[in-house]
Amino acid sequence: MGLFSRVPLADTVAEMDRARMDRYYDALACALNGREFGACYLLGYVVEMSLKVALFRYMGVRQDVDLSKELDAARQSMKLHNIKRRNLHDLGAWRLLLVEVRQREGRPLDSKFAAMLQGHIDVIDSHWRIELRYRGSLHAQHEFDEMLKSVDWIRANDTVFWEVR
Amino acid sequence: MPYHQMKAGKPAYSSLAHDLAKELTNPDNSAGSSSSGVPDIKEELQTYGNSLHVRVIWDKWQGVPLADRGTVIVDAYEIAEKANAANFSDKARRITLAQGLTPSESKQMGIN
Repeated sequence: MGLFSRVPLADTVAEMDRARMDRYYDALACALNGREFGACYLLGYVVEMSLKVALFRYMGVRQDVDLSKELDAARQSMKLHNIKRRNLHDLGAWRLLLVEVRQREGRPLDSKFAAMLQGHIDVIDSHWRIELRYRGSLHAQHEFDEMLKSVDWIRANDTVFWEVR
Repeated sequence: MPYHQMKAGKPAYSSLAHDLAKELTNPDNSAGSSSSGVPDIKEELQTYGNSLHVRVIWDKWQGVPLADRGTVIVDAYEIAEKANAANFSDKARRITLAQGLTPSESKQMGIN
């Protein structure tokens, strides 16, 4: 039985939440074995999934619901909010959508906290694009260190992204 | 237990925030020349969500980590607000995008 047939077919909040933890530890394992470039590639996905999980949790989406419709709605919402994106993996666009949706609904993130989040996303975004998958590895210890610092900040604070007080 | 690291505005950058606040409250009309030390401040009001996007192109960002620039901008708006500057009421709270770029970074990103 193929591996793909053993993983859940649908994207769900619960599965994305598990996957972002797994990719984080995969990244650390790569880095510990001198494969920092691959580690950077994986860390980008950790952040992408963290932002999506936060958005859908904030929106009250159930853990086990297939996210196809929610992902389409999020893309539409980006258009409404005039959020420009490079592609569907644009971390800045997902951060901005989360912050704009909360702002519009009168439950904004603290402006300084949102700016700190943006700063960390800008760091990740300066190193990561999905196109890295088709590129040979380069020495990337410094970039990995920078990314890990920002990813750890995001992991430590991510409940703030979606919680409603 | 979640760990909320909310402290912003490292003291090392507070003078930058004050410089920027000064420019916000008393703009130097020679602006637009960010390479001369004057920040080029671009505000964009978002009509759908009534939020504010701010980009500051400034050569003083050189050496300031990307992760810290946004908080300096929000700090500057808060300082301007506390100084009761006209038209500053509530602006800091509405900022959803605060991006600081050096002139060469903005050129690389195609932002003029």
